[in-house]
Amino acid sequence: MNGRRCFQLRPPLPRRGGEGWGEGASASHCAHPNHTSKLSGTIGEAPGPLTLTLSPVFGGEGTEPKNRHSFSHFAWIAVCLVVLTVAVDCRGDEAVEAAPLPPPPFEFQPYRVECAIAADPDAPAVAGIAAQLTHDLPQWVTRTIGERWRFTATTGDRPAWATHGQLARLPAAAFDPAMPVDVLYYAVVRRQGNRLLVDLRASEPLFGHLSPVRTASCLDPRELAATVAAEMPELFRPRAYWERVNDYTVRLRVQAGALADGEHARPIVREREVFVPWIVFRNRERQVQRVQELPWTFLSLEQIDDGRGTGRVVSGLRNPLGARPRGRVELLAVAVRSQWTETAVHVVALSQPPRPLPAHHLELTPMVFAEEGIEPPPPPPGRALLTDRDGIVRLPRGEAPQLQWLRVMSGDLLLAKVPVLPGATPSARLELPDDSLRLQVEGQLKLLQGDVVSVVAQRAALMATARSSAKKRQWDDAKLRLRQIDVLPQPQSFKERISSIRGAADVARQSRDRVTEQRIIRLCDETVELVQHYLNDEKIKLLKEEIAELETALKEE
Amino acid sequence: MMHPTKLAAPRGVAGAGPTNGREAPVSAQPTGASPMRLQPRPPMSLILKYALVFLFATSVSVGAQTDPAKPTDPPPEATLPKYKDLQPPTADEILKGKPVDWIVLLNGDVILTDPVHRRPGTLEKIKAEHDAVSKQAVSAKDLPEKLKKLAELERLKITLFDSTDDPEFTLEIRFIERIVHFEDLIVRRISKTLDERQLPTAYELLMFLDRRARGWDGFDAVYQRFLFLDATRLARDARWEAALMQTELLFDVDHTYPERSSLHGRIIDALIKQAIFDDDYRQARHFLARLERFLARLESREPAHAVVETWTTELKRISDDVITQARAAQTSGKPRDASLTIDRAARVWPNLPRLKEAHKELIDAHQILNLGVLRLPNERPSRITPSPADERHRQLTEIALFEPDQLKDDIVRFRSAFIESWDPQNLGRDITFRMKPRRATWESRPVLTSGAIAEALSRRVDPLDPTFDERWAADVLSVESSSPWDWQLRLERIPLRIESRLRFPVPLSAAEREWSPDLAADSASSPRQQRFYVTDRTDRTVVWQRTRPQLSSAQPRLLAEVIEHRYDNWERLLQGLQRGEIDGTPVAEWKDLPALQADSRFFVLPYALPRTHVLLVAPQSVLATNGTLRRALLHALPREKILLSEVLQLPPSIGADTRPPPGRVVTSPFATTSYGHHPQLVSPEFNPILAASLIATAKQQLGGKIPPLTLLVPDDPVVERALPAMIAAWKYVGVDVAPVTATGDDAVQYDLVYRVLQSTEPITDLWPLLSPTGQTDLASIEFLPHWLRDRILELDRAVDWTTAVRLLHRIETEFLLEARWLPLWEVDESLVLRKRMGGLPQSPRLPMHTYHDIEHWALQSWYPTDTP
Repeated sequence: MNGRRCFQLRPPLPRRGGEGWGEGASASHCAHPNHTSKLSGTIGEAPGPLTLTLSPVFGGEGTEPKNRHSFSHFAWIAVCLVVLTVAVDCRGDEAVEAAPLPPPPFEFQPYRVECAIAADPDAPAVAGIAAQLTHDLPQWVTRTIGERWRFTATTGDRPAWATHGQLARLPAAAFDPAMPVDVLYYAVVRRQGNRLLVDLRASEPLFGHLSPVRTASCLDPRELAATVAAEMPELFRPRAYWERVNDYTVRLRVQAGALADGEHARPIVREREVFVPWIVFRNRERQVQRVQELPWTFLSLEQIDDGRGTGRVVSGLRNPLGARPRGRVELLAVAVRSQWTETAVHVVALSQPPRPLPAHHLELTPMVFAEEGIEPPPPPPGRALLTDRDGIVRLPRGEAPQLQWLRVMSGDLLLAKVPVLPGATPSARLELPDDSLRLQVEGQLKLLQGDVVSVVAQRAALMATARSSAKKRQWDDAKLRLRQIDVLPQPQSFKERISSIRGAADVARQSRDRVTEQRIIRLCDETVELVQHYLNDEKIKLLKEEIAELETALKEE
Repeated sequence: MMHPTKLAAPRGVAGAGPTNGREAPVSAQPTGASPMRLQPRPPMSLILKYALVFLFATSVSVGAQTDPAKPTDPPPEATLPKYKDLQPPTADEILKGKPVDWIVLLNGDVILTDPVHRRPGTLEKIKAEHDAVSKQAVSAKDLPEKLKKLAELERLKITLFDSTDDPEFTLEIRFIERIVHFEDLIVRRISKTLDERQLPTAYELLMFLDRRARGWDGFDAVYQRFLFLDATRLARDARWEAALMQTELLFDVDHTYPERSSLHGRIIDALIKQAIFDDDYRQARHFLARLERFLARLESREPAHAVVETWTTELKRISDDVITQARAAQTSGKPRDASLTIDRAARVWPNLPRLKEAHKELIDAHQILNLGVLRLPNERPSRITPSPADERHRQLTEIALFEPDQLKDDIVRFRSAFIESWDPQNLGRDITFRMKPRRATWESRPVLTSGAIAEALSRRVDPLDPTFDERWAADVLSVESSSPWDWQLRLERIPLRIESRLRFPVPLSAAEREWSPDLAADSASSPRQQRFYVTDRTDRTVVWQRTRPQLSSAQPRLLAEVIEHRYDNWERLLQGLQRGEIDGTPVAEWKDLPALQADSRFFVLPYALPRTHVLLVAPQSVLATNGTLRRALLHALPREKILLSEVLQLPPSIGADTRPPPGRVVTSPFATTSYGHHPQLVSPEFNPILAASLIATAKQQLGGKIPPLTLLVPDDPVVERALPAMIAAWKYVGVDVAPVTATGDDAVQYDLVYRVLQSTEPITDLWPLLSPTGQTDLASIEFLPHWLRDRILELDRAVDWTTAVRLLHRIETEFLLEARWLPLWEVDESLVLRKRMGGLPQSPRLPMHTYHDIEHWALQSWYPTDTP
């Protein structure tokens, strides 16, 4: 291992009766003060790698511990060190048979982090600096981040991503989800003038995530490792297991959340950290078969203590968490941070083929969280947006990125309301039902309503004139006005027009779009009511009778 | 005026015996003594009373003695005024008082009476009648009647002046020496007033006399004297033209009037001097010719002839000198100066023998077209609603990659000055364009390479560039230049007509100018002005010249310069056109169009597309969200009436004419002659009752008050004419609309914008038309309802012509029903040019705009030779 001492935790093994890292694992990974550890293996080059296996003596299978004892990670580390010392003393003659141990609880598991370092071949005299960085970086990471990362650094020999441009073009699809690493950093050392630059990019093979390129710079090569070590957490995304409590709340266990940090005390998760829930499907051999993200769903961290906490479910879906998943699945969540300057949301209609939805009105409103029992503050004013010709809307990250509601309108209808964290991903795809048919109907009905308003206004004016003429005993003029009222479009003609518009509901029915069909019918019904209300013949009938009676009475006088 | 009842009563007639006579009436003298009477003076009624008693007594005695020369002594207590003491009434008495005649008796006394009958020559007429009656032979039976008539003719019935009671009397004619009529008194007063040089009073009296008794003896003399004195006064005040008028009037009434000729000559001399000082030789020649016309009526020579000769010689000399200057300018290589100078020579004295040849030669070398306009283009035209003058400037200066060429089958065909050919490949997704590497001698344009075009087109894809075009960016994948003369366009989406998407000029960079070393050096400051460029601008004129001047050896010579002259009104412009000050006008007023069409001196070319007037709603306005108010505004406008009476200003007879009027009410912003016109659309009716009802509804919707609206209008005289009627119509239904003229700043908030436009490609032009910035970005149509936005997008993406036209018509229908635009009218405009122009678009190809094909235009030598 390059002549350096390192600790390697054996990969967790599936246990009998459990469901691997899934639901069963959530119970078995509970922290317990009575953990014991057995040492197996060696430290250093010979006779072999040191293997430290932690094996809890007992733990409920598939159950949540009722009383979770607080176990100081400092104490845990101390125990490990003692055992390690003993193990070193016993090295050689007395080989200890290593029994398979269950994996430690998730919040005690460090992240497997690797950093592949390359020197820019076009930059002069950076190869040595890259090698030095490879040597220094693990030490700095250990100092700053502590035990939370199990960190290794390697130097690549002119890899395909050895320049800034190549690194920026690195495709996310190039990673295998089964890679035995949680986070893989790529670092390109180059020079710009007298400055040393290190382009960093983090990938998470399991989620196919590839961060944007972040560049650290310094003048002194001796400071390079410290600078890079300080920059790396900016691209890091913590993970957690999540467990559904109810439709609105989940329980979270953050990986390495209970481990000690380094010199720079920095919490592993931030306040109001936002997680994206994933489901990881594994096979019998515990190999990752596929990973699936819960769309438009976020878990907003509410409180956390020693890596365990609760989160609020924020979703654009009605029942985002669904039923309790079965099979060999792990419910993972990964923190999303606004690493990009903007997120391009592609709004498309679920048609065949998918159709971009241009010129759609959107509203972006910051999400307001209220403490339990406290009246939530009024939501701040939203920001109006419009999708472009390709149905794309760009959501800028802003100064203080936070979860926001994105409402998509289609005419007067709210088509979708989803949470977004601008800058969390470079792009997102929002698939919506095709509302074009209903929109067409809405437009036709608006035109019709305009005509109704005109007729109502005209009728009101003529009625007023007729009444005025009758009062002045100008009977001919009054009758003329009444005749003019009679030739105005009648309610029946409007109803016929509405009936023809209603035909769109049949089209929706044929395409088995029940929602659109119901919406069209409702729109048409509302317009019919409008026509009946405002173009009521009763008023005209009453006016005619009134004028006739007045004429008769005055003539008799 | 005699009272009829009194006339019916028997009167005492002098000489008829005591039985016929009666006592003289006694009346009180009016308290207001007339200034014409001598002072002191006894009361008039008393005087008359005694006078008549005296006359009666005298008549009796005279009748007995038959000696009229011996009147008896007058009563000592009262006397009549003496003629020699009386003054004619004052001007005030004449104009405001009652008319009075003087009856001068044989003894010099004067009786003031109301005007007598049988005037003028009252006594002569009575005497002639008396003689005629006396010579009549009558029978004994008729003798008494004859004697009675003769007796009546020997007496004069008079009505005493200013007598209040019973002023009717008769007077024996034989005692009357003469009668001075009121008109004579006026003449006397005029004469006295002229002596006192009170010319305005004299003029008033003259007019009074002329109205009262035209042709009165003595009128002409005082009138001529008045004219002379007035002309002298005006000349003294240097009001030469007025003085000339009076002199010419005097000439007409009496050309022999003393000193008239010298005065006439002096006035003309001053006028010509002034005209020459003002560099207005036409006016100088006008005065000279005017004098000549008068002098031609004389048989003998007079002093004014010398003036004519002097100035004729002088003007010829000036013209000759100017021709010499023009030749000098030509020799020194200044063809523009030579052209302007020789044209000036033609204005000075057009009949100079050597002028014609020089004019032809020098005008041909540098041809200048002078157009008269009512509005000049603004230096910073409004982007929201450019005026027709601004559009004219754009069409003259800018060369779009594709320009409209002609209207054929309701579709505008385009051509390109830069692109030689284009070859679509890959089902139209890839197009290879080939540029024209060379220019014809007549072309005034720079050489444009494919690199410049590729750069310009690429900039339109860049959102950070000011020329960014969202629609273009969405349609184009890439632009590549493969050689200086070839470039390829790769399209994401194939537009219906690629020409309509390339209707913009490519600004000429400094590097690109190096390909065109023959461009005018000072045109570099205006990279968009590539055909003609502005070289001079004042508040009265704008001058454009070719960016690529013709070589001096190039033949045929073509138009080198255009000057637009601003006139204050159409009447003055038309006068200038008739006089030859200008060669044409971009738009002729419709009321004078028939006369101009009938005038063989002019070409009258109708434009291919009518100009449409339309009101558009501003996105930020309350109108954008309130359809009721929009419909109210539309129904409140009597568009037909405003079009005929205010815009076209047609006389009523034209309305009855069988020919259709040169304008019509429209239903959309697109010309009725283009495919954009939806023939099935019914024009909204003018219905103020409906409008008022809708306003009432809108008022409720808007919280009880209709906010005052602002209408942004272009700087155009036709729009200015229509506006008052439109605003009055809206005011009538209860909406206050304030017009604001658009400027280059365009910072004003507005609710409606008045657009005057000629759309060449309605499918493509719809979106920019709706946008306040003229851009085709989605934000500009964000204010429209969702389904309308979708419809516009659908039109933008239409792939076949039939679908696109159907969609366009559908959008037009929805816009009209919702009154999202308020279409007004379209007018057929005509370009008027004097028939000295060649190279104009030939029928059936009509000009698309004023300066269509201007690079082909050629000007023939012509100058006005008519006598002004």
